[in-house]
Amino acid sequence: MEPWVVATSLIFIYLLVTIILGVIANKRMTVDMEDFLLYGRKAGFIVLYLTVVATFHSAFAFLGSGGFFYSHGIGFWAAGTWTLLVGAITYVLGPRIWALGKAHRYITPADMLADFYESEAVRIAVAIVSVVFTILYIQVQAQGLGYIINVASGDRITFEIGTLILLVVAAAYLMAGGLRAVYWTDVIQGIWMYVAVWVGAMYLAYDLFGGPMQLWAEVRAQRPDLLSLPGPQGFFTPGMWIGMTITLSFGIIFQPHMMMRYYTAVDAKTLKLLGATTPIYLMTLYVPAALVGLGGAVAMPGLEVPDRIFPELLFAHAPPILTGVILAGATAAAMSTLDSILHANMSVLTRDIYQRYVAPDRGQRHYLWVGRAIVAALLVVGYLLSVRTFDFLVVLVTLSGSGALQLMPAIVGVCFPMRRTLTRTGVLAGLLVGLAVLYVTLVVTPHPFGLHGGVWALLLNTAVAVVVSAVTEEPTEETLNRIHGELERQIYPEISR
Amino acid sequence: MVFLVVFLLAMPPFTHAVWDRPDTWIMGVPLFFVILFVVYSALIGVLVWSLRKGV
Repeated sequence: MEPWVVATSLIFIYLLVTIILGVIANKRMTVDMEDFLLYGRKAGFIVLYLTVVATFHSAFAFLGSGGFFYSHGIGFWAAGTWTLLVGAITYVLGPRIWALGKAHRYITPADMLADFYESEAVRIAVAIVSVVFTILYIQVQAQGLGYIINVASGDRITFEIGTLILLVVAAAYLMAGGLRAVYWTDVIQGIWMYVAVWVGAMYLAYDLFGGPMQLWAEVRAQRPDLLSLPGPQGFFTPGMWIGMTITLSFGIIFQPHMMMRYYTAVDAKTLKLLGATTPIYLMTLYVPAALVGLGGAVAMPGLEVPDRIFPELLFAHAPPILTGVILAGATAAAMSTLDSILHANMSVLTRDIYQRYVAPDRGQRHYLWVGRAIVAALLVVGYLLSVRTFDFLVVLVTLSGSGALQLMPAIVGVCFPMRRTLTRTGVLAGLLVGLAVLYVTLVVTPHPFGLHGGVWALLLNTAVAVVVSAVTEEPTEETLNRIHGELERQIYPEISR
Repeated sequence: MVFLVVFLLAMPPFTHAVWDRPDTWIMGVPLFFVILFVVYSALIGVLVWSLRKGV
């Protein structure tokens, strides 16, 4: 059998498994928004662990990281910093968000922020930022999926058709089984992608160089420019290192698909355990990515699309079955994030916009169907973006994270009681300034003084939020007691006693 | 606090001025890669230690 048939067949078998899981999840689902959107708030450690890591690591980690090591060298090992920060943020922030979500039945991030800041304008602004910037993330996954199936089929299935097939499958099992289907498929995807990237990288290292140590030696001999900062193209300056660390940790956590995972945990202890242990998975996945990217730069130089280095190497050097299994793992990496983003955006648009402003007081079944229609619409937008624009996957993710990062002052204001809290006017003014600065520092004058535009925007956003809050009206005493009081009861029980 | 202090070792200027020595290798792997792997592992250790202590 020809290699492309084996590789493509294995990917399609994998897709079939995800659809079956979606159908089974649908049988278990009740007509209830909390069940459909939040897994009934009863996700235990193992399910939550695998869904968080599978969602965090996407086509960006599986394909994009190899591409970045390939082009910019060892500087991408900075990736470890943001995976560690993700763990620490989950450890500190996760239990707080979970406690508030459980006590006040929040479903989306905007629910929490609008409640605390007593403002529908805050709800709409947060919903818009959440959706607009995560749509870029849909593009990242769709683009990655297109690369994978295009390479696996040996160019017989075009990038456009491949992207469409995989987007439709992800949307199908999401529409069928809601977040339960997403979590169940994430469990398989999380394990599959981790094993696949390690097996693939080690196979290539031994096949092409005789082992990882020989790979490093060969990189040293042939491409020493890849082994020093800021890298051959001068990308990893200190400012970029710090900027990527912040935008790809806080910026990803504050996206709705990650924040909503905190709401779904069965208890706060599960989230602390999650925070302490997720970096083990997240960080160690970049070790094989380094081998693939750096080794690929020696073995297959001059690739037009560096993000394709892993599948191209596999197809050129690995046996067809192994290539198929690993590319199915890459598909898993992209789909596990894609389904989560589609789900989160569906939740935000259904709950924060449609249910509140367009058609309130309708039955749960009605909202479930509207949610499904929204997934279909998002699918079209993601598809069009992915086939019309191209960029480094890592660049797109960083842009997406920079936008969500602008929610940070508002979220910190809710989750950490301070002597003088932020106000709705302060938060909105800060967000507005942050987004304007983001545009200037990413598009007009990219990364002034070498510091990432997302960080410039966050700094000015925070300054404006604090200054404006100092002279505007705080949330009412009742709201402060209700929300910060809940945090004190849950997080500092010894103080509240 | 311990986490933040160790975390600083994975940030500039340490990364760009201290660990970035392409001529220094440890057991066949660049110093930069090894040192940061050790720092990252230590940070995971701090998080697990915090969990066990109930911080």
